[in-house]
Amino acid sequence: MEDNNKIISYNGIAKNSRECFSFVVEYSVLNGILSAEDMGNIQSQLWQLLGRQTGRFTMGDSSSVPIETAQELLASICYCIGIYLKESGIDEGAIKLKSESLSDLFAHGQRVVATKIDLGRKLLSEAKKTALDIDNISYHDTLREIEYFFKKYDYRFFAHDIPCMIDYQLCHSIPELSGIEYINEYLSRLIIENKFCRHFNSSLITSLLQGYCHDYREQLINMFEPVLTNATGLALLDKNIFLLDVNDADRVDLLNLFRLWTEEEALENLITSAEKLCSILSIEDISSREYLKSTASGLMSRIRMLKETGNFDNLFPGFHEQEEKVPVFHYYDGGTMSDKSLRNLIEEMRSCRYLSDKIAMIKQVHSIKDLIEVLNACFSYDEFTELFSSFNDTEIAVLMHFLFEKHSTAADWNPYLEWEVRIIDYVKNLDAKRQEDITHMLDGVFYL
Amino acid sequence: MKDRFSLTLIDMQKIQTADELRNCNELTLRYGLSLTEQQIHNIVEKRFEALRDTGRMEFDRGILKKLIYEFCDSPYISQDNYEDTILELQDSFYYFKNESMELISDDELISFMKQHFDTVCQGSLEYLSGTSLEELCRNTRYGYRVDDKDVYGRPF
Repeated sequence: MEDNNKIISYNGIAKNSRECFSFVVEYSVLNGILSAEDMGNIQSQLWQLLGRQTGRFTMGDSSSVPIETAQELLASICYCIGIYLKESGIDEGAIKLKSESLSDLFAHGQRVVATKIDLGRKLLSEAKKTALDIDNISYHDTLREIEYFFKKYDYRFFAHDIPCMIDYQLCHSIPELSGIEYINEYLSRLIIENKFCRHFNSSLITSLLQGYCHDYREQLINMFEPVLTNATGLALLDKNIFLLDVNDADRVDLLNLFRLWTEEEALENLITSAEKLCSILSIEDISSREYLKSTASGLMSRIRMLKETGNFDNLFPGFHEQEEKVPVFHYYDGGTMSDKSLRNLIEEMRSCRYLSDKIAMIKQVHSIKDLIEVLNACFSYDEFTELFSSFNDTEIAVLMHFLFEKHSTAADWNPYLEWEVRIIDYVKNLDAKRQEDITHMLDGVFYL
Repeated sequence: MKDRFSLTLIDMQKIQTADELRNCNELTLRYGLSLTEQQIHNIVEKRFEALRDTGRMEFDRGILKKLIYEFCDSPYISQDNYEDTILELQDSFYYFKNESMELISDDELISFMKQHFDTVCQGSLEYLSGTSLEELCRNTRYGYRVDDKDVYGRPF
């Protein structure tokens, strides 16, 4: 029974080539294709092949290698032989195993891998051509990493290896595969997802992604799934799928529909709506159609759960609502005074008896740099409150912004100056409304 | 069956190595050195132990023949200490092969061992493994070549 399951698994698409070799050997022994003597012969050949590969790997420099290296080399041999046997089919594979030497099978396998590498390069170029113009770090990093894969992939010794980082999550993850097979399958699925998403306006996709995940740029999310989900939902409601926008009323309608249908009906309708999407978008390719249908039917498990809660908000995400824009203030710093003029002004202000005169004189200063000099040199502790009360909110906000910028880059031990302590106290003592206004302005101050 | 077969492979390697050591006696006899059957058996057994202890796999005939050919003319090896020296050298070889992070080839390492064994180490295996080989591996990890010299112009 267990063996039958294994055969089914082998005939399935995603059987790892590494395991395929041992599986064909096991299958052949169980079915009497290989005798115990043949098995001994295969193991002996495998050992010799590993020895030869180790020799090639060390280029004759070393007769021994760490056990980890030997394991990797063996895994690569098994992978290459397995990939060839997998292409031949299980019965023919078993016959080949009996009639051909392992070195021949290995050489055939390496040729298959080389062909797959060529295919992979073509797939990568198509994936790059169809890539979405959406700012998601993992998506673009992964495409870049796959380019490095083709530079770093050493199929002669480590054919089973994937020497790159694959961060971007596909809608359907790839189980079991490794080496170039994994990369090719990954790229094929990515191209399907890319081509589907390219039928929609990229700014609409961006809005949808913002609604789906606020930090969509940095998070490891799949961009295809929310697009397909919303398009499926809109297709179910006979609405314009290209808008991608499922609003609250649509969600209620969808909830009612799914409550009305039995599970079988719901599944059938999801698949039908995926087919409808394919015909609207003129998707003819069978693998793409199957991919879309499988994704749409995969929604069923989530629908089953969410139907109970009566909330489809997380299933069919809405568009991101634009936040109220923070007003932007551009502060144009005036020209600084010459050193001599500034010195004269400071001396004059320091000799001044009346605070009101000082406040009037400070209006001669047009640059924040000079103003700071004056604040440091010309005012005493008790004069600051009156001085600051003569400033309007914008001026206070500019000074506060300067203060925050300075202390965010300065060392922790950098002490606060007299005027800095006083302005913070002054703002704290203002009424809540003015404080809020100043804080609001602070977010939007830009020095020019 | 798998275990039985694995044993057979190891046995084959053992037989091959033992044959090689027997053949080595023809050369080493010129230097007054030879290995008895028991000693050959011990050395072959210890080879697999050393490989297991250092976590390495060896194919073909291994390095015993090379070690014996290189060291048989050493003035510090006599018939009395021949077996022990070869056993010790074999252990050191695999240990330092690991320590050098595969950056030194078999031939380079054996030749370095011989050169130092006959000169600075004056036949002391402790000195060889405790200082010379340690330094060699450390320097190799720092990126020096085996035949590089230190700041005083002395070879490593």
